[in-house]
Amino acid sequence: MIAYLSYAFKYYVRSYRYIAPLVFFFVAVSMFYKDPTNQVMSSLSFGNFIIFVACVWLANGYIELEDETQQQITILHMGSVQEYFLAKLGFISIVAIAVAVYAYFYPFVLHVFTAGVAPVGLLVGFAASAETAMLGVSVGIFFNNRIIAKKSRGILLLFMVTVLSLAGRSIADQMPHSLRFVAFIFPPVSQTVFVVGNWWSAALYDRVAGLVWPIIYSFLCLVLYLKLSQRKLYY
Amino acid sequence: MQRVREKTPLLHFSQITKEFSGKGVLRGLTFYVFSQEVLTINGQNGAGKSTLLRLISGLSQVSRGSRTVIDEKLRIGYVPDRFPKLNFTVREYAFCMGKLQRIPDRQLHARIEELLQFLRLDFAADQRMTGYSKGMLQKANIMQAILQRPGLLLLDEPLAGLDRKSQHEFVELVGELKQQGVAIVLTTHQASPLESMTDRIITLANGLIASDVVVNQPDSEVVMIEVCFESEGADIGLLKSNPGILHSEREDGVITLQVRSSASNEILRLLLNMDGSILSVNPIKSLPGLLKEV
Repeated sequence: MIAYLSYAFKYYVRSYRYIAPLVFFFVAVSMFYKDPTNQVMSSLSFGNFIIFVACVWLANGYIELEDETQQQITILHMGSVQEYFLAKLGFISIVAIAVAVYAYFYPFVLHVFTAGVAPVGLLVGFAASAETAMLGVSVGIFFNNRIIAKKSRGILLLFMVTVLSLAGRSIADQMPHSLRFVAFIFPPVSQTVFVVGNWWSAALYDRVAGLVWPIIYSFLCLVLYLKLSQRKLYY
Repeated sequence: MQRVREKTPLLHFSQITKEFSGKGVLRGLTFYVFSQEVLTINGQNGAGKSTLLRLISGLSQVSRGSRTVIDEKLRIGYVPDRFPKLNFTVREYAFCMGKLQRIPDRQLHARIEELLQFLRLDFAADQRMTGYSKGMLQKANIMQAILQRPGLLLLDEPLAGLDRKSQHEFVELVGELKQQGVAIVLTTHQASPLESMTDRIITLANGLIASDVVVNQPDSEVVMIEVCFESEGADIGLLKSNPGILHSEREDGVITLQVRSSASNEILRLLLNMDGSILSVNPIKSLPGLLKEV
């Protein structure tokens, strides 16, 4: 695993694929936290939108980065297809968590917040950042050439899913009550953002939906990705 | 009796079929891969050569049939037909690939230096491979495959796209690996300079083995094949009269055949396709010079 992470890091750094999403991310974070604010939780919650978009972009760029022939060589040297894909997910998860950590600590380090917040709020804010980052990974990895053969279709679908993830809660609010479950099909980013922003007044159901469902959702997506990738690999 | 370069079976494929979207690319192939041999798989474009090579490597799974690794310690090196121009120096790249194979650092550094010399790539060891010629890339390709001293090396269209000088160099390298005792399976779709060192040629056509012949071997070589039966009284029947079979010995439910090497693959296939009470067919070894004593 460590050998793969070291190899993947070199491969990734030299690909320059991370430049566009990271430029977006750093610019967006610094713009967003430009002015001091006393709205700690709502600021942290909105920061999750930036984390999500950056992680979708990073994950999508990384997951199909390795040359197809080189991938065969790497798998043979590692001796296990499953270990290969797990290591691959491990690498991009580390990158995503690093992004979440940066976005979370940035306003504290630069003293952007003029008000304090209870430790529970800080914990919730951090958990939400990490979960949103993993949701970004879960979405970004799916729309690659091996799973969706046509690249243009993959990008279009990725864009649609990203938008629906960001706007899922607002869309659900417009729908009849019986159809609101549809919001749970899309990555629950908007739910997480809503819950963190309204943590002190949120109902238990919303808290669970905003903080627990993303963990289950990401886990299911990652497992599905592992299954699909291995099946698609056996050409 | 001197036993030089004994050939033993490394892999056994039994009735393997590979399908893509329900269409059979390879259909019911049965064959062995032996140690110490250079096996060429030829056939036209689309005959399934690369697919077969990926099945041998274990990278791809058979749709039906079985792939059995007889030598459990067997290490397989794979040289794909196209090697990417990676943004690594060959030294860095080899180190990364070696670490993936869990080769200890000190051993790996020594092996990399050894291979850079062997492949005559030391002058470019610290250049990024993005600036490599096709010949140099092919050497980097073979380097990653032989880092861990494989017992079996798979080469997919190894000379494709190489100029004459690089082809010549590559043939020399393969010859040296053969001398070191590495079994080699290579694919080609046209006459290749590598044929001079080939011991056996399997020709694929329409997803089937059209022929499996031993070449470039002295006919003094004998292959021993062990046939195990369910019952003691069972026999190989008419096959006994095949001129390729030089001698047979029965002990309980096992018949040991001494077979002329040039006929060994044909006889193996006939045995494997025989109906009846055969439990297993195992080529044991190949003994050069044994024929005179027989």
